[in-house]
Amino acid sequence: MSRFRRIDDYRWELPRAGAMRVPGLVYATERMLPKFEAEKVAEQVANVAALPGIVRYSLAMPDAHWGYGMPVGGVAATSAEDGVISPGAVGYDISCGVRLLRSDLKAAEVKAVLPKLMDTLFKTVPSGVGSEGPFRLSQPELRKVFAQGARWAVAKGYGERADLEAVEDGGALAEADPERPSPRAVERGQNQLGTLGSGNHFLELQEVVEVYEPGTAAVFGLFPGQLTVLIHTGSRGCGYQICDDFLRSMQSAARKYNISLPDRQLCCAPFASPEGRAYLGAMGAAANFARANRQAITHLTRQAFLRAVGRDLGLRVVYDVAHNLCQVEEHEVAGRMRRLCVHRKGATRAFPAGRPELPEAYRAVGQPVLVPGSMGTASYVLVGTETAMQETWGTTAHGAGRMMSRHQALKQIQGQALFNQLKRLGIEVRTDSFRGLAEEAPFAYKDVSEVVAACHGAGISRKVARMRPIGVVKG
Amino acid sequence: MKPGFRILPHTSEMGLELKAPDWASFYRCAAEGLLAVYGARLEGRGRARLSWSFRGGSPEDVLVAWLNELVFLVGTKRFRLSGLEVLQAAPDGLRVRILGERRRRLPLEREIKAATYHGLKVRALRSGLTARLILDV
Repeated sequence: MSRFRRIDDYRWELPRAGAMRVPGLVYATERMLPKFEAEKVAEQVANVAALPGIVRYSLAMPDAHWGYGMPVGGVAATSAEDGVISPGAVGYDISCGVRLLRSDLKAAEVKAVLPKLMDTLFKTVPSGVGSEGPFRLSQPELRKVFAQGARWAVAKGYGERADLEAVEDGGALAEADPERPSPRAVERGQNQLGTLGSGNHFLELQEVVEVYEPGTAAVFGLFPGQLTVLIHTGSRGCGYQICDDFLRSMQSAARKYNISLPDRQLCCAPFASPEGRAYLGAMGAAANFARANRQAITHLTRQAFLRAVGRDLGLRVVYDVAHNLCQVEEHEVAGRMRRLCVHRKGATRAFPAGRPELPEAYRAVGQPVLVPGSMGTASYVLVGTETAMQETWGTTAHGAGRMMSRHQALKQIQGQALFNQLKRLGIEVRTDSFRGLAEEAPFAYKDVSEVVAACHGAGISRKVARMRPIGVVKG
Repeated sequence: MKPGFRILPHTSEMGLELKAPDWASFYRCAAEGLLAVYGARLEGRGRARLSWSFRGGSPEDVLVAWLNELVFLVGTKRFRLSGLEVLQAAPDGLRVRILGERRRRLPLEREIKAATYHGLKVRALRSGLTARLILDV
């Protein structure tokens, strides 16, 4: 029997039980729900609901799936006054996120040079397991990256000032403390700036194939047929190390502050405690590394375009948004404004029109929300809504969400066969690992259109445009 | 109980099931399981010898710290492991000598971000030790 109680077509409540301090609230269609049940999403939503100081609900977005600690697609807001901050509710790939670039061209105009362009991108943007970037940084220089994020990259000439206007927080999270990351975190980050990494990280060339809200799309600079570039990566090794370091220190902090949780991966400390502040500073440093990383990749992408196409295609940043992060935000709770730590793990901020955090250019329409799909299907641009602000702390889905293990995917298709299949669909893939490609096969993911339809139907974001991939650099 | 490991499927990550008759082979199995997820194994002859030790906490703390040390060595330092000498193994501590060598290139099947605490419980049975853990990949 389902543990979920139906609220409406898209909302399902997980009633309080056991150690839960608040109920769970899951956004899904009825068709998606059995997967949430069969997997451990319900259990993980319940575990998150036990975090001290959690406010209103433990949330799961329509792309939620079994993770560790918090489900991927989970959201939890805790009080900044008397709640906790949890590294496990952010994850290892701190500030993993997506950046969308738009061009002045139609995708059809690069069709003839697409193979050459993909080869150049593959050579220029390092990808794959253990890949190293072209920017080897000294320790003091990396500390500057931790402090300044994408602003560091632009100051070094790896981008334009206008790029920063379209990055969350103007490219740098103010809470970052560049001295917090351990020497090992520094070592892991020193040669990884400007790298995609592996797994589900990618760089895609896409074509805008459908526009649902022409007015909003125009504000975002998007038009039908347009060539766009989507970059998905995060803070790489330094983020993993920061999470690991703080999970260790939070294990003892949880004992010190007498916090008992059903899952040790969710270990935490009071937000206002020295341990909590230290994590916030280190997490901010990793977030800034991730922003600098996506900025550096933007620079490399522009160079590759220039080399392959022979001219500047006017690549501009539409938006850069993280989907693994804890952000301190002001939200209305029971009629009064409160400072909350909003943990989003595999979930995207989706602020509506009018929020001061948004770039001025988007303040009248709301935040662009970037939802990548699997490499053979589609990606979406959505826009944040007031409903999201009221219900989900201004949050929506972050992608298609996996539904099949890597092992299962490998059993169903070989990398070379998938490569050929995608080529027949008009998608040029470049990868150094056919095995990795097969593990990320499109059928291993939920249908991104169904996820997006659930977000749109629930009103926690609205569809603006859909893109289809035409070229993929797979990490 | 014969020592061994098994890679477990997980929707978005990868899991390891470990079993061993004693603490020394338990931590060794964990290392071999981790290497298998990387698509590697203990092989070759390395001239480098590294020492690593961890003391305090629970068996879960020791296991997570041990595997994350190996993630750093293999994933970041590109250290190809050729052998392990378990010098001291207990529920609350581990001292090992790691043999191998740093490589300029170390082909790995996938990146492992870390070993997690999610649902981790090391069980001491009459026949030996067992655990299941999730790796973030």
